[in-house]
Amino acid sequence: MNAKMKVLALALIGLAGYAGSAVAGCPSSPVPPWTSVTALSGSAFAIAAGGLDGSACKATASIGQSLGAIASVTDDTPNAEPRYRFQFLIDPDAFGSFGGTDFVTIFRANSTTAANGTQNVLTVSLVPGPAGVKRVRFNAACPADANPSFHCAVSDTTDLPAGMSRIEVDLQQTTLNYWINAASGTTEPPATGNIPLGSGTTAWGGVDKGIMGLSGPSSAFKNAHHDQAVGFDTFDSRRTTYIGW
Amino acid sequence: MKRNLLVASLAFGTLFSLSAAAQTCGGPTTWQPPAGGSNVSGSTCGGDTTAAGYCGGNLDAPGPAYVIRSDFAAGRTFGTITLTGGAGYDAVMYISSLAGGCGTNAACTATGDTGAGIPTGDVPDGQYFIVVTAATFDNPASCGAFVITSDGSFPVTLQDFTVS
Repeated sequence: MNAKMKVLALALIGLAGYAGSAVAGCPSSPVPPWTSVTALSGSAFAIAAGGLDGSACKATASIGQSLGAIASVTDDTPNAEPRYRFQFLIDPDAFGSFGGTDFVTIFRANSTTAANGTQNVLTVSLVPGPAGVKRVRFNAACPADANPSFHCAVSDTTDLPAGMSRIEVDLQQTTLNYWINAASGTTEPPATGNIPLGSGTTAWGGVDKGIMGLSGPSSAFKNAHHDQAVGFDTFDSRRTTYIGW
Repeated sequence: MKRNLLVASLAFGTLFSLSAAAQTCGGPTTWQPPAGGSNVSGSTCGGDTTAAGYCGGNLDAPGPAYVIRSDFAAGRTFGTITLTGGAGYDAVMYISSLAGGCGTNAACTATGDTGAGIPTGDVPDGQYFIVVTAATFDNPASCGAFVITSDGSFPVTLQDFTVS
């Protein structure tokens, strides 16, 4: 059974559905199907030609030179989801090499209610690896029995290749599985990595919002990588089934 | 003829800077800079901890916040609101609509930090909260001193004027 969230399928139509469009131009705005777009402190989130998956269009995001800079789109259709699976493509080549203290958020999942001072249940970030390469870090909210800081995080050791990368996450209340550039197929392969979430995240009430784009840059990042537009594409989210490609 | 100028913020016309203990959602500092500009200095330590996030969930709220209430109207003379921050945290400022509430994770109208001020063009006329707090990546409870400065008026607005 494909338990795909019907409402969130709209988001897929929005960024991937352009591939099949006979219309030559791309939409002028990501809203709709996204609920809202945020661009602050000299940042920009736009639609441009040249999809990352060979489709006609993609989204681009660039941030201004500020710690408060945001270039993102928000999907408000999740409804206190106890399990939230999502996938998107990112091409961060425009950032060039990463310095040792460069980092920036590329996706956030927020909850219905706040617990332990936050509604953020997952932050996915680009972080530096050795010799300027980029890697992905997953930082999930978790109960104190998993970590007294209420944060359970993993920086994956996979160096992102040049060009597009595909990131998929299965966020459940007691565990998080993620895939980075999984092989083609719709049968769920072994996860690239996993984060145990202890006794569970029920205190947060489930995922209520997905935010894709750039935010929360480190000081080094916003100084070195402001105004560099990177590509996002093909966002999809579901409740239970593996997405794949 | 009696003239009553009941201007809630008129007092600020004679004060060019404010300094106070950290202000909260329940009791924010009112700031209406005069034509020559003014600043607010204080500390976010001991400030408001209501927020579980900022800017519609785009940013975390790791530290306490100093909350300011300001109105922006036509006739404003300010060009930029700037921020300086002390040790112990990475100071940022977020502006959000009064209608969105305080500490509610409402969408932001404008943001800035110590290196990037908020230009007048980023803030439409209206009623706002200005929050000074720690950057999203700071450690829990991060806080410190700050000075937020306007180089002109928002402006000071006349709340009531009676001639009898």
